[in-house]
Amino acid sequence: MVVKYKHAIHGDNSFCFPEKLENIMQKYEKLEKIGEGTYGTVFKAKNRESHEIVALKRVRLDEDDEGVPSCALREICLLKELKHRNIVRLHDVLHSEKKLTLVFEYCDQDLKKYFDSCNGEIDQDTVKSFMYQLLRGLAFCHSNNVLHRDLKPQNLLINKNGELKLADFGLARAFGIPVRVYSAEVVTLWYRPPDVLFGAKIYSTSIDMWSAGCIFAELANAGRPLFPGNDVDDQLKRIFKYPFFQYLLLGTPTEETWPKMTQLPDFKAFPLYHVSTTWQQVVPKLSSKGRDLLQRLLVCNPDQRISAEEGLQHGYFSDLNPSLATPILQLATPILQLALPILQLTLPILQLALPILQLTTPILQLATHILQLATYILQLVPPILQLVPPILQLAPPILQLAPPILQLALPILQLAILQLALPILQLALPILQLALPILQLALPILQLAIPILQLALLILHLALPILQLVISILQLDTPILQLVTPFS
Amino acid sequence: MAGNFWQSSHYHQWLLDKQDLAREQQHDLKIVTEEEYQKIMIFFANFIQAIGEHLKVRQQVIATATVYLKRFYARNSLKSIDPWLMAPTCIFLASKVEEFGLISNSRLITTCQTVVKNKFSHAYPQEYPFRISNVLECEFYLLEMMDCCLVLYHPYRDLTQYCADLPSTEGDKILPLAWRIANDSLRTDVSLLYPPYLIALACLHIACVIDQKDLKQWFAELSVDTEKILEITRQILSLYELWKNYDEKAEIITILRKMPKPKSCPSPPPNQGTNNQDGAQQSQNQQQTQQQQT
Repeated sequence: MVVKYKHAIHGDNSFCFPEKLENIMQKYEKLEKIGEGTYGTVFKAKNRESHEIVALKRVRLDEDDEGVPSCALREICLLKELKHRNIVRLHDVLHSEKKLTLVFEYCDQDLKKYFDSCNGEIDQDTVKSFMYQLLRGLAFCHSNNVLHRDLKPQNLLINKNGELKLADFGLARAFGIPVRVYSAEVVTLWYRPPDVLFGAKIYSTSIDMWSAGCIFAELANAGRPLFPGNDVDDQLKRIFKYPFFQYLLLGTPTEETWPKMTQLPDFKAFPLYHVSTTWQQVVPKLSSKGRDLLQRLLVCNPDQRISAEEGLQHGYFSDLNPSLATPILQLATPILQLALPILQLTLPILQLALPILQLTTPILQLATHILQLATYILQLVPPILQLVPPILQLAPPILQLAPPILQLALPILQLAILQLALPILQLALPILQLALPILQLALPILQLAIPILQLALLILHLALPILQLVISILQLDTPILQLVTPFS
Repeated sequence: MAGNFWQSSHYHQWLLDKQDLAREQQHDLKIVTEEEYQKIMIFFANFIQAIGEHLKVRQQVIATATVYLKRFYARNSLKSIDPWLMAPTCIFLASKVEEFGLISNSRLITTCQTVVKNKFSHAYPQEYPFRISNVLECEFYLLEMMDCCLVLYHPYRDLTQYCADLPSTEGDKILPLAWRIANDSLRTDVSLLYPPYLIALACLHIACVIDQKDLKQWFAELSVDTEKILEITRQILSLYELWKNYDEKAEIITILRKMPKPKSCPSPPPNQGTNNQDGAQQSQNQQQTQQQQT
């Protein structure tokens, strides 16, 4: 997976084993700069061999520093283990002088840029599709005991097919035994849950669920952030002014609704805000089921926040009907696996038949033309020949008549036979001679090509219905993706 | 990471078989015997343990670092990178991966110097020669050689779970002993060959035999590959067998002299008169052997 590079960090001092090493830029052609990641520049690039478009994230390694930066290490560690369609794929890690390059699958834009291109208008089916994919990616992370910890629109990538992928795992971390104290300074302020804002040091998957809720509201409002706070205080104030709680009245949580709140390190009392806004005003375009899901995500008490897995089962997504799609897909897989070897068999035969066919066609066309020409000329000869006897019959009486008439007939004969018919015949002969060997050449090739073509056709006939079946099954499964209008 | 072992890179890429190991080590085994090779690996595992303890990192970090070292030399000759350098590099990387936090550059090198001086002078009489730039470069190679598979699964968690599952309070009594055996298992190749849950069971098995506890019934209900558990048990027991008649302090220097070494070492610090010449002689011999091989 990794490309070796000579003189890794300290060229002169290198005592490690020098091996055959190649340059990254021999493998990838840099196309353009996409942006700045947490710890390095991101470029769009093309694999010179496969022409695949990728994103290159360059990690600069400073001498006398921490070596490979922890955030880059985390990303490498976790993405090496997390392979899912809603999580950005790490293809490769390349080493070169003083830098490490992570090769990711390429996505056209992130959610932030998508919002910018929306102009305040977003299709509610798109909202549903993105939210579903976000929760599906999160559910996978959480089932693998990985917290993302830095969810925000900039870290959600979207590709041409409307697929959403979680990216930038630089702050992500594994959790589990033993329970550790995590850093409270995680998650960009706007997407930070109130427990973390109050300084909670122990948090779990609920941290990502709050961020998912904020992103959900932002999605529904076509990119208007829900809580764009300026600092921690302002952030909390904004949160408590919103009508979150179906469990309590409105506004600021109380000891009753969130018993452990007052014990958090940075807890401070907020006035009980009286809330005049309603959910309808917060997310006017979202359906009632969507509002219900949002309320379950944006719960101040982390213990009561809905999990990603539960979120996927929420009624809001019922018309996406993934429960139907999944078994059909599972059914399609073995059929696809069956179709594949047959298709693979067809391909080389077709590849064999094609050049022969290509060779045969022009020769045949040439031969046909020549034959047609020859035929025309031959058809021209008989009438000329027929012209000769009457002229000959004309000759005796003329002969009898007088030598001067004979002298007249002779040049006419010479004209008829020699100058007209013969040259045309002479023309036809060599062309026919040319046509013959070409025909002889074409014939065996045609004989060879025909059975191969027949075989290929037969296999294609066999493979086609299977493929059609697979495609129709896949189409059944893609309503989730098709809901999203393709990007221009 | 507590994720799913069966979907991990550890399971998919880093469970080797014995033939793999033997093939990769065959070049080194032309120079040292199999037993000497094992002693070298034990010695550097001890070195990692000593650095780790001095730095006060968790056992998890030490275990991960030890497996990194084993993974590296399972795919490379001892002469590719000097294990005296690889050992602290493994600790450095493992500490970051296991979220123990970054060990400061100067502290790492000072620790190596102190540990070598105080505990390993019988094996390395000179001053510890490597600098942080060497470690950072070495980290690159380590990452690359492991194909960036950094997340490891150790037998400890499985061990804790199995012990919790044991009838009555047997588990609490047997856990400390089984845990120590799991630590010892890092001195064998089992972590490269078997999934951690089987190693945990083998450690539990040995602990039961030592403590004369009868858990046959419990083991019988597990429905796991008993043959594999016995293989692991045999490998750990053969380590204890080796330790019985082995005086590392006395013997290791001879073995280390024989050990295949990189062709170019960083320039040794001055004032290392006789030892230094001795070392130079050794490495010259080494190079000759290598040339003969090629």
